[in-house]
Amino acid sequence: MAGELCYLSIAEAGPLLKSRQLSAVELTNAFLDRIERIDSRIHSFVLVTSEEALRQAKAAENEIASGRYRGPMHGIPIGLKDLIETAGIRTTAHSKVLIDHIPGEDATVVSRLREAGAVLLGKLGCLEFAHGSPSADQAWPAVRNPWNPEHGFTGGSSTGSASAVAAGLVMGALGTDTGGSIRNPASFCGIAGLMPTYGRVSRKGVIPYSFSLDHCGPMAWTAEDCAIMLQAIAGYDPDDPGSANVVIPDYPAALNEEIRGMRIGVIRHFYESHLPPEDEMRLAFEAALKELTQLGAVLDEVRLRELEDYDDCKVIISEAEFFAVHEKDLIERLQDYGANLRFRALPGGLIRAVDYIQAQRQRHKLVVEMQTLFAGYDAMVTLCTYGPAPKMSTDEPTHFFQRPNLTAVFNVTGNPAISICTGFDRMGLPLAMQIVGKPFDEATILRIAHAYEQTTPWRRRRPSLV
Amino acid sequence: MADDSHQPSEEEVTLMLKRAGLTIAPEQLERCCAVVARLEAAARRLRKDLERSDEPASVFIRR
Repeated sequence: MAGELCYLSIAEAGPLLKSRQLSAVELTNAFLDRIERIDSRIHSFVLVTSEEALRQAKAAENEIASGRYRGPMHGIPIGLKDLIETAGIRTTAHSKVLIDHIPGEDATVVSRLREAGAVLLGKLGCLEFAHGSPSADQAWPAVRNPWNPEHGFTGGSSTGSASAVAAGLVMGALGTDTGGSIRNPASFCGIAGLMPTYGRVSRKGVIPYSFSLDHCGPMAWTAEDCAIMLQAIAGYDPDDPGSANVVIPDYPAALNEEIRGMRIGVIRHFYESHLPPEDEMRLAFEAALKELTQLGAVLDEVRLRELEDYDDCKVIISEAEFFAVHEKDLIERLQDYGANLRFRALPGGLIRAVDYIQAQRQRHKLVVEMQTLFAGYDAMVTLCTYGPAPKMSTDEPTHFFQRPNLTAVFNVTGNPAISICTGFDRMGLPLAMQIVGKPFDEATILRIAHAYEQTTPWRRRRPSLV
Repeated sequence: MADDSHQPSEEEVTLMLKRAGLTIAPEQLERCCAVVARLEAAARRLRKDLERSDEPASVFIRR
């Protein structure tokens, strides 16, 4: 029974909690037991906050019993990427640099989840400062992919968030995304991961990687669960200079509308000309396009700039801003950073001011071009990664700079994008695609993702961890 | 960084890092140079179609 509870979606658990057919304490205990039994195989948590979780669960249970139900996140067990600050709870960014960092305040997204009544199970591992890669000298072992813990890398950088959701150790999690860090691990772990529009979700209290490109967003088993979580965390925050004061729709309600007649642009040229994906990934994408057509969407090939144009812009901006954030510590205590982050981070200090400005000027052109092109479409679709999860390695981190990724495009332009599962390869590893929307139109891509998930069998399969 | 023909040597990168107040272990220098070369190439390419009046993306979502 406990295992079954841990595989409920947020959308399924909410009505059970509300009607008191399910106890928030019982649910939380089921997750804590499962974490105790399973997490040693995948290392998704860096800190389990059992006492706090049970206290919150008890409070949720009492409130619901007294008729003060807060909404669909009330009593739902969640985890947070350890880049997101929590008052009185250690927040390390998975780095020795912040090994003793206990924030005095919650990030805005944490406050909003608390107000929604969510139960915090703990802090989840990630790549160091969202930019490193696994190396043997880090304070915690690298997060493993629950679909094959011995083989699989989880992508990056919201590794623990994706792994814990897939393994049924949390019902939902928050991640952050500067070049694909929500969508990439969501793809490798077979879950749904939503990067909202820049400005839609507050970054206040999220340890920065790159101010211009950072997003915070939900990661969950289904697109529907992402919609429920987004509803809780979205909205203007005067404490985030990048926050946008834009109307928030009812995301879960938007899922009920059909996608018939929607115009969806298909982007193949990113990978067709120079960078072929693995066959199984490509074939799963083509099959997904057929599903969308059968659901009534009108598909049309679309061409953007070459992938490299976005990648060049992204890498100059993000590396310069990352170095600016870390300059003092990189000079004074370089040895406290993981080996694989050191050689990545230092060259950011050599980028000239004029190169950074040219990248921001180029970015403006790319943004305008993208929004102009989007006038003809409701959404666009493309691959999320070139293949399923690669083999875990702790000594080959240079791939980050070797091949433009398929996700950073939309960090540069700020559009919302969601990664969803499109099947499994012959080794049982998940395959995925990403659906991209117009600025502040997360509702449309969630609706497309939900419609696809409803007509395909992929949400019925879980990792066989016990 | 925008010299078309330039491939940074280990000596040059070491010197640039030193000027920026940074040091790197010798065993990591080769990888660091690869990253520097990657960034230099990106910086060269991204200015290809910029015109005098192009503004930076200070507020990047146009509404």
